[in-house]
Amino acid sequence: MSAFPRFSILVAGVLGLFPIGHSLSAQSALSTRGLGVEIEPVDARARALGGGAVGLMDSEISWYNTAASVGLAVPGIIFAYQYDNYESLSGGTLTHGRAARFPLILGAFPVSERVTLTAGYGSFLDQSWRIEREDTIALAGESTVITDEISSTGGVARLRAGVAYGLRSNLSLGLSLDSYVGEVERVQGRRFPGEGSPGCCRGSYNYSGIGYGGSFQWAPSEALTLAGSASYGGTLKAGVVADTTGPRFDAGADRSYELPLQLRGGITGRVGQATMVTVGGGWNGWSGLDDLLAEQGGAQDSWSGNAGAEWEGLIVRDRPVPLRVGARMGTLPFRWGDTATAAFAEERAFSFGAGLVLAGGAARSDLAAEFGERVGDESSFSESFWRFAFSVRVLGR
Amino acid sequence: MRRKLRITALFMVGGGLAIAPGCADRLPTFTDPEGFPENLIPTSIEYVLEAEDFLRSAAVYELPTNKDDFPGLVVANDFDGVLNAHVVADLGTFPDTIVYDNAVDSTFSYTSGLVSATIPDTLNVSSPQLSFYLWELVESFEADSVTWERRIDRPGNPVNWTQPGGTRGTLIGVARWDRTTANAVGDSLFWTVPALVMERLANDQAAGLLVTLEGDNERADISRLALQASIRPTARQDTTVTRPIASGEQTFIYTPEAPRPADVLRVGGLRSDRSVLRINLPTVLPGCAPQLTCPTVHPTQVSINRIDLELETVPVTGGYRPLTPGLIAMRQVLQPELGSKAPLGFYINTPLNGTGLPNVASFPNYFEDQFTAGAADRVSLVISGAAAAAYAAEETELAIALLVEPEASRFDVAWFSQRPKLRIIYTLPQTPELP
Repeated sequence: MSAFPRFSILVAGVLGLFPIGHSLSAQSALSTRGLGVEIEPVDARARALGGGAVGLMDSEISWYNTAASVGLAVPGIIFAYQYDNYESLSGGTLTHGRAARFPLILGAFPVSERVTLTAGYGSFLDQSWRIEREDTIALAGESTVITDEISSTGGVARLRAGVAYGLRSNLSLGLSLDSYVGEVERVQGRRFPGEGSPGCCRGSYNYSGIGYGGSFQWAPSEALTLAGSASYGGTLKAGVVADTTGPRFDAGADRSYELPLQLRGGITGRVGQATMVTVGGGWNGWSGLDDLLAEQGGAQDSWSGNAGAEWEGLIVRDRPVPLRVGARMGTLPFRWGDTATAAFAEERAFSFGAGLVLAGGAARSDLAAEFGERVGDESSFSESFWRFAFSVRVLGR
Repeated sequence: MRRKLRITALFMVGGGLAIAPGCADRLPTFTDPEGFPENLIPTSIEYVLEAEDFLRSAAVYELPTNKDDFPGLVVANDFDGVLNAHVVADLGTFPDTIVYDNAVDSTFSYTSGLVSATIPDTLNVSSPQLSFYLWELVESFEADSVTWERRIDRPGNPVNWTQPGGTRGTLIGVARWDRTTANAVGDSLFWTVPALVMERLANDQAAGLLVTLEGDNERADISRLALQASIRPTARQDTTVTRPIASGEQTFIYTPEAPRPADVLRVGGLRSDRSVLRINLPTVLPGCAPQLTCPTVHPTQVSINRIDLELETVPVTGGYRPLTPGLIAMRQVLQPELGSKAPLGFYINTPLNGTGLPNVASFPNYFEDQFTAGAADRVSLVISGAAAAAYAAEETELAIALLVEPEASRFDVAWFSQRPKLRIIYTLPQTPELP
């Protein structure tokens, strides 16, 4: 049996164990804000390089850069696993949380020297959180402790199909089409003693919509690669799912959100025989939702910058073990707080990681760890986090 | 092979990491009170209906049970100034012979006896210290028909006691019980029976035994009596052997009978009093807090948190008030129009559907001090589960039986006013919306 079928079986087996892309919990307290926290579907290599997933050298299977898949000799698949742990301080209240998910599963299938097709699944928005408040009310002549609760469980993910075309040997273009999927359940109500969850009210929404993307990759020399990508989300629709189990209450209304234009770019240069440096950045036009989300504090355009380096000088048993470091910073799109005076949070993180070539080069696994903080107005919100990422690319080189 | 092992190990590590946080899966929960949107705080309403607004009928039924179905024996003396009860016991058949050293001995003699009983764990006693008197019973009785006044009470052939409550002979002994005695013996009552009395009992010269309480205002439940005889074999005058005496007829006699006031709901007692309430669940509820004006809503349009019947306790007379907390079994009544013959259905369940709690029967409890003279208290019977089920089935009538199980398992009774209240606590719904 060749290496490819074996790996396919393993990948299918591992992925079959878990609800892919689904968060078991939230990865940040900021998931309570706006449309939630955006989850970047990047692999552990990009994570270790500060999140730089655009413009890396050579052919790659990349969510953000479909064009990078031109030049793959054989089909391949990459999947990533991510574990987040955070600690938030808001209004003097400390909250811990953690999440595990597969944010990325993407396959690439070269159909000719110039054309490669891609298909996969990537996380998009995390909307899992709960807010509680305890109070005491007088009922039947007695004080009764009640708990008010608002919770949200679910999120949005994207199914993608893409095509990459090599215009020239050093220039390629990519186009992609995304289908938004997912659902979220909202619960708002009051728990009385003895009640495990509020008897009312639940509302479920299914997400749908189509998004579009385009990218390019240009290598003016063997030591330099430039790439950029743009995506336009189109309209994300949230449709009410009728609830026939609970009390008859208003089911809520359908919602639609015009998702923003998102731009990313990156440059990677080889600065030594075994050393590569990458820098990049991104911009997301979330301010288009500012009016719609005004009651939640509104939204702003967000930006990010990243830099990283990879050194392939370490050889273990004739295998290169690339070592990576990176850092990133940026602003986040949704306010922490419902008023227009509340702060938008900023995110800063540094990361490191390593890779390992397996099965005679048929597979590559990467590990990354990231440590950072998200800070709004320091008096009202701060959050520290660490993240572990693991990814495997099977063939596709 | 090594390569395959490494790859497999890699995936196993990855899978394990993926599973790890899932083991403690819980939504991140923010508890900052300032972070809860003010406009999303739910409104809960307490709505109380008076009896005339929901009660269709209230009836009390009795079962053909009596003191023979009661698992213990009752002793009382002037309890609540009214109730008296004595235990009368015929201690069965004494042996004509014993076998000792493989020899049949028909001329043995009794050296003494030991009568024992226990205070059951229910501790149905009126006082933490009690003295139980054991008397020789002079006149025989018929256990099936004996009453306080009559030792035989057959139709056409009644025979009165010479002394109502059982004609007493000599006092055999006094057993003192102290609730604070914290050991197994502390729950036991022992009376030593002299040889002379044992001989009389064995020779049918004594009719049996009688247990009384002599202190004022005392009442207690005790177990059946047991007698152990100490016997001296004819051949070995220096030896004593013990033999249990086969238990005979035992019962208790009391006066007066439990009152049957017509204007109260009764639960428990030797007649297994059962109260049946037929209620109409409301079809409209206020749609806002009482001080506001708004349209009414149907109960299925709100989140019902609790529905309970609130019963006002009534002091129990005749010495039949409870001495310990009790549980009321609530069961749905099927075909309530059949009255006393209506079959009982499922137990009323407390939890509402979807609460995540086990769907267990609800046994509301009451306390002994709620039925004393001058006490006016309330007992809440939570019927949320049954009411929710009725609403879900688009029914509004509910018939509920209040009883004590097993039947006749309590001597005392619980009384409640025939004008219960229906209390509904509900929360107005909200619409969970996305931003």
